[in-house]
Amino acid sequence: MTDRATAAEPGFDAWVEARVPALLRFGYLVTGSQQAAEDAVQSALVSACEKWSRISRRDDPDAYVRRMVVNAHISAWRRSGRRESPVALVRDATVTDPAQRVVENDAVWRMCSALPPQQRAAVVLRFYEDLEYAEIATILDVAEPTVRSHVHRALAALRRELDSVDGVDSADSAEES
Amino acid sequence: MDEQELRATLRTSLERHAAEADVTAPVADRARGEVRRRRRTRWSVVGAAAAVALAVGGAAVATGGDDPAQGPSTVDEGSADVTPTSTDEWRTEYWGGVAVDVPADWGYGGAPFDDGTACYPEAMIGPDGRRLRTSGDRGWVGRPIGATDVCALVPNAWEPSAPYAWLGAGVEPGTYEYDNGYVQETIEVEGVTVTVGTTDAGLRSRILATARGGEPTRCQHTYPGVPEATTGFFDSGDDGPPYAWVCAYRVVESPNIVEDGTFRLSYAAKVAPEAAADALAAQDAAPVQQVDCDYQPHEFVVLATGVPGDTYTRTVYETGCAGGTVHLVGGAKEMVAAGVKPWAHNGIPAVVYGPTGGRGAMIDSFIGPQG
Repeated sequence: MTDRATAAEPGFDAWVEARVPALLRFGYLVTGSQQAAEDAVQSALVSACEKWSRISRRDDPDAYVRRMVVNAHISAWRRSGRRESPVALVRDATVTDPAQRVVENDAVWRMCSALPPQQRAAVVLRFYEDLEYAEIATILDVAEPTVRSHVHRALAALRRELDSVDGVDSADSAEES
Repeated sequence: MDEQELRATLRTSLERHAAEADVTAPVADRARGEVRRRRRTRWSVVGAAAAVALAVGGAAVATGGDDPAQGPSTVDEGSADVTPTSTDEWRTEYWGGVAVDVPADWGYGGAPFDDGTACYPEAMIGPDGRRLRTSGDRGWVGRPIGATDVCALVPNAWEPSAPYAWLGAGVEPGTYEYDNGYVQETIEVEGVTVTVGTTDAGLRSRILATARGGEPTRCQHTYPGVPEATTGFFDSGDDGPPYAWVCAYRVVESPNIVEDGTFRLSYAAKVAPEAAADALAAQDAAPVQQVDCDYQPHEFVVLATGVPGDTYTRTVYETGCAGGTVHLVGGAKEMVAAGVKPWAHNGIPAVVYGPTGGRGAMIDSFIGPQG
């Protein structure tokens, strides 16, 4: 057998060293866990490396790899046959700014955890990566209205989460008084 | 909290969560290692691909399948010069836009995914669609679809015991020789890998030589999403006998396919028009589907029927939605066993995931929860 083991494709190393931190952060938001993020990013990088000569000719290799990260996660999610459970509610009875921040962070994470992978990816691409709807549609390979719908639903879900927390807080306050 | 504040909260919170990620994880090194491992341990590349591709010749014209915008194409079974002479002994298998002829008595099984895992690398389903008690030495056609959770790492922890043809498997073009004398050869046709493994060099060459793109069928090669049911009139005045094709589609995840997320043809076969009519009648009489599925579809089946020169109809079976949903031109109906059984045979039970149908009414029609 011929041993074809060689170094990575030319240009791949420089690109990957520059992009890995951002990809891991992106993967973490899309998957919701460090382990899943590493798996998804690694899988995407393997694909990118194997096809680098083709991908590097594209205008935006980042978009391709982000797409592969999302697809790797969706694929793993399907194989596992499980859905992420919303994280436990973490609240502080004292309504101070840091506590409010914890509540909001928790509400956002809980909302994200409840979303299907593609919808969650749309939210991350829109509000973390600051991409336009058309760019997101290209990455996710869906129609732009679908992306808008994903984002709209996510915002509505977040509002419900925050309203729900506010409601619980109000009830607790009334009970204590 | 107004809309702007809500968006700002979301942005800020995502940034905070992103900062929790450990960005020092050596994923780049791991990825490089994985690429080296794949290249080192699996395949030796030879220049067979080009030679066989040249041998194919006579490629047919790509078709619009059942796309009403283009109109169904004409079925031309004799268009490939290299089609085996006896149609009784050979059949055609499809994957994406590629067609391959294989011995008609071969069954169906799995083929390796991109990570080398094949589930299940033997004949699991007979050529008629019935589950086999034992694979024996029966050849099989494999696709990278998890037909069961019984898997093997190919080729490292597996040796073939029967000849096979893989469509779209995660293998590189080239040849691989197993210790037991089986030789596996992979070529690429229109971006799709076609792999044949056998001890019979003549059989291997013969099958690979039939691999071709653009085979005219009634099945469109790809869809960007689950299509709508439709019906219409043919634009052309060509006539011919009634036809019916079952066309299965799935999202194929592979580094070999850059434009991921598209539904690609995973299986296609002719169905007796009378059987298709029975299926459609049963579905028409089925209860209206009350569930609006909010999920990410992974696969679906199109039953393409029509009479050339007259009308055509596309019926869509969404097997993963609420126990099965069938989109007829008149609306969505619950999928029922009588609407499935007339076409869910041959390769379908090895290619399409589906519901059991309650009390097992469809358990033999699809890949079930446990294969």
